[in-house]
Amino acid sequence: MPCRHWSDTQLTERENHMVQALRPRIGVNKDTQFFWDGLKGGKLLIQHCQNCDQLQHPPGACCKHCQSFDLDAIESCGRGEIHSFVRMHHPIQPPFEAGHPIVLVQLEEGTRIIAGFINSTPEQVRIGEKVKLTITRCDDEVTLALFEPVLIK
Amino acid sequence: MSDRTISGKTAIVGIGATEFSKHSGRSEMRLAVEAVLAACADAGIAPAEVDGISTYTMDNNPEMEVHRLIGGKALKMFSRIDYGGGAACGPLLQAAMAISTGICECVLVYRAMNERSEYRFGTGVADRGADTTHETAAFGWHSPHGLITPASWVAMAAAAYLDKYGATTLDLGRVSVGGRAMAATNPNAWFYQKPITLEDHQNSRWICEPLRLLDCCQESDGAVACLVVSAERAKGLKQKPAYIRGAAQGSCDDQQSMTSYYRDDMTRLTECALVAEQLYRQAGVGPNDIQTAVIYDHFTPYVLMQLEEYGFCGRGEAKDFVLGGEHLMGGNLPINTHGGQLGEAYIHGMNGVAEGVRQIRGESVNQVENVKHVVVTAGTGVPTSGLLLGAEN
Repeated sequence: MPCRHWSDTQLTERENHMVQALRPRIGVNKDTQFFWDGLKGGKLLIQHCQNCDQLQHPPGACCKHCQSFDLDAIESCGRGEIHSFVRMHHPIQPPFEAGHPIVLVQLEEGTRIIAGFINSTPEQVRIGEKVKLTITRCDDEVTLALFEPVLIK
Repeated sequence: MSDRTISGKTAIVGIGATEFSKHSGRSEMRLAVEAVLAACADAGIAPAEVDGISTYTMDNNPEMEVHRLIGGKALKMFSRIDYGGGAACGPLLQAAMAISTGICECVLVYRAMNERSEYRFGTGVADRGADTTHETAAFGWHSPHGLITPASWVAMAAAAYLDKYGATTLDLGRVSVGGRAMAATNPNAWFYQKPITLEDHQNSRWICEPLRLLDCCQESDGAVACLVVSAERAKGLKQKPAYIRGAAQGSCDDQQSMTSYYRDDMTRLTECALVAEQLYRQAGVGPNDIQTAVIYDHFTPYVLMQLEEYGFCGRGEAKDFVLGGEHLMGGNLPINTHGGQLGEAYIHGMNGVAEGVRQIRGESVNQVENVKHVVVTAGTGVPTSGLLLGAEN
C-alpha cells in the first residue's frame, strides 16, 4: 500500500477542491425564472407591478400590494447600501472561506437583496457602506448578483 | 363574540419526557412512546383514552403509529403544525380547539427527535437539490451566497437589531449566561452544574458573526409529551391543572421562513406581537400579570426581540432588561427556569411547554413564587405560536 504523507499533497487537494467546488444550486420556478435569466443577461431585475407601479423582491406569483398578475420587471441601477451583514464561519464548505461577508443590500429602488460582498476591506463591511453591483458568473449554471464597495481600497 | 373563546376551557394535566442526551441510542418512535406513556401516567389517564393528536410537521413519528402503539381505539383528530420550532405551542392550540368544540376528550401533543445523533438541523441547506417548490426557490435567494444555516439567517436579523438599538454581543451573552445558570441547578438539563460566565461567552468561537457558539442552542436527542383535557375533567385528576388561558399562532407582514429581511422594519418580530396580542386578549391579562416566561431560545438575539414583542420591556430596551438581571431568579421576570434550549435541551420548544406547566404546579427546580400566569413562546423568525397558562380558572 503506497505511503501517503500528511503534507503538501493534502493542501493541493484542498486547493483543487476550492477551485472545483460549486455554490449551492438554485431552485428556479415559473415565478422566479425571469430574475435568474436576467442575471445571465447581465441585468439585476426587480419585479414590477404594471397595475400599481410597486416593486417587490423576492418576486412572487402576484403583486403583494394589489394582487395583480400583470407583472414585469425593471432593471436596477445596481447601487445601494449595506442594511445588515454577517460573517460566516461555521459550517464552511468550499468555495466559501471562513469569515466571508454576506450582506443585505438596500437598493436605491427601495427593495433589499442578499448578496456576497467582495473586494472589500474589513472596515467596509459595515451598515451604511455604499455598494455597487458586480454580476458574477460563478459556473455554468449559476450567475449571481454580488456587490462590492463603491470605493475599492 | 365573548362566548366564542377557548380561554380556560382546557388544561394540560399530564407532562412526560425522556432523558435529554446527545445520543439516545433508541428510535425516535420509541422516544415518542416513552414520553407519551410518561405523560399519561403523570395525568393518571389510560393511554387508550387518547382521541386526538397534534404534533409538528418536522416530527418523524406518525400520529397513526403512536396511537396504535399506545393501544388507542379511536383517533378523531390529528393535525400537524409547520415551520419548525415555530410550531411549539401550535399543537396546544389544536388541542384546546378540538376539546372546547366537543370534537375530542383527550388530546395528546408530542415532539420526539434524535436531532443530534440522526437528523442535525444546523448543517445547512447547501446540498439541497434544485426543484421548483416555493421553499426551494426561497432558499435560492440566500444559499448561493453562503447563507445556509439557521444561525446565519438569525445573525443577519441580529446585526440589524444590535445596530439599531446600540445593543452589543455582551447583551446576547447575558441571555446565554442566564440560561446556563438556570440549567446548572436542573438535574434533567444537559448542562446541569455547568454554568458559564460572560467571559466564556465572549471567548467562544464565531459561528456566524455576530453569533458565537454560546449564542446557539444545543443539539439534542429526546422527547416531551403533554396531555390536554377539558377544564371540568381536569379538576378531578391527579395533578394541579395548568389551564390554557390563551393559545395563538401568528404569521405577519412580509413573512418569510427565517429570512424576513424584506419587511419595513426587519428588527421587528411582528408575528410575535400578533401572538402576544391574542394571548393577552384571550386571557384578559397583560404582560404585568405574568410571573415567569419560557422564551424560545434557539438563538440569543431573538430572546431580546421577543421580550420586547411580548411587552415585557419597551422597544429597544431588552438590553437594559438583561443588564439589570430581570431575566434571572429574583428579577422582574425570570425566564427559562429549566435552563431553556441553551441549557436544558433542544426539544423544539416542547420542553418549554413542560416547564410552563411545572411553574403553574409549583414543581420547577427554579420555582418562582406565587405563579398565576406563565407565557410560553415558540420558535421565532418563522410563523410562530404562543401559550398563556393559568393556575386558576
